[in-house]
Amino acid sequence: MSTARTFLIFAIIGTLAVMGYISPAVHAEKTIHDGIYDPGILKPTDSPAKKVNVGDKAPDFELKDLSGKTISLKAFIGRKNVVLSFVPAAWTPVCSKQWPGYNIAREFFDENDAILVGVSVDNTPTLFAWVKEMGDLWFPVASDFWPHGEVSKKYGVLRDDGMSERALFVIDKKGIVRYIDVHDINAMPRLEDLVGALRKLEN
Amino acid sequence: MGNSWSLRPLWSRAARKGPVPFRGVGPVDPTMVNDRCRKGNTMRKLLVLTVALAMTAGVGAWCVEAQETFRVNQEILGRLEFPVPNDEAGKKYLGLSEVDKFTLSQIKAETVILEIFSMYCPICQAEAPTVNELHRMIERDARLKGKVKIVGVGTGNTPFEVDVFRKKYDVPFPLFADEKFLIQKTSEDKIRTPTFLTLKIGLGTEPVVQGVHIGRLESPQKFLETLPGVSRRK
Repeated sequence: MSTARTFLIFAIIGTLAVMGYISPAVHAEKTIHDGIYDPGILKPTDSPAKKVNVGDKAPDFELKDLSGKTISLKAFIGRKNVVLSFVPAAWTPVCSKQWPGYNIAREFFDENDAILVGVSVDNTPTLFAWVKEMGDLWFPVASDFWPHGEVSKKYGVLRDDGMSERALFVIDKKGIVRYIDVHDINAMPRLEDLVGALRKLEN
Repeated sequence: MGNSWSLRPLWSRAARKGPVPFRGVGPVDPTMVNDRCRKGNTMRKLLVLTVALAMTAGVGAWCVEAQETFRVNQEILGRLEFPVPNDEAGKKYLGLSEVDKFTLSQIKAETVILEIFSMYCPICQAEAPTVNELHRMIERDARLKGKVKIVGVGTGNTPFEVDVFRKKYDVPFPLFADEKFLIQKTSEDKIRTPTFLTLKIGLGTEPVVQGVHIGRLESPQKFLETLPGVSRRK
């Protein structure tokens, strides 16, 4: 075979490889990650001393959910166990998955006669857009924007940077705090830990 | 030695639209090609074809700049160990003998579709019925059944969380928990969920990555057709 012909065969094979006929292809569609701001690794917890302990009476609060409805703790006393899920910020990596995870775990809340309330210090329009992006959630999401982080502060989870901690509080029907997880802000609290806490409640 | 490489998107679009990159380019003007063909000069014909393909590739490569690459270290992927499923159906599906752990190359299949998902990822949740349908289509097709298998890896998920996902969507293929994000070690690029890796099995100890699909599948049928050899099997 002549040198020219050999060269041409290699050239064609090489060209095909470059074009992807031989090498594998990447196909990318939009994912939830595309509109997400990554703040990098943050100080795991950054709020002042604990204000609420297991066994304490949970501080009452009143917040508006995304439909403008008022959500207050006292309205649930005697009726429902309450899980408060504070998340640091909308449109950030872990937060944008935590609530969608709870979205497919409703049975654990229902089984234990519990209601979940999502709380964030972001303002309502931001939370509205973010929740839409995540898909509809079965639980209410409340804005603790103004006075900024007031409820987060009452629960001792307002960070020095103005966000809240990634924190879970389980409050029983008597209004007593039964479980607290002020989690590393960079990591996902494990679902089984929360489910375990719910299963320990006396319903 | 690690075998990492860069994958290129959009090549297929450039190639399928064939005529578009050629338009207005002197040396590959169809008239000229035909003229030279009539002269019966095979070498020149090959040369022209090469130039044309190179130009197409050039356009493809230019498009790639604006798109993304996704590198996978096949050696690390090949070394990942998965626990053998407890259930007989899962064991049988993967064709595994009585061992505790297995690697992807040990799966009895020609092609493995590895879905990297998270129980917490809303797109993975929305996509679950589509992936189930993909599995059903494979199992219903005598040409694919037993040759193409699907395995899911719940990255950053605990076994409990993966189980919530499995039950919620009645997932019929094996799912594994990757609590320590080990799958991320197979790529320098941030793995987003869902990501589907098409792996060729049986060519050695490492699975060979033949395709990467990030995000939702447009349709199970279309995805199936992207699998190596599937469209040609018809």
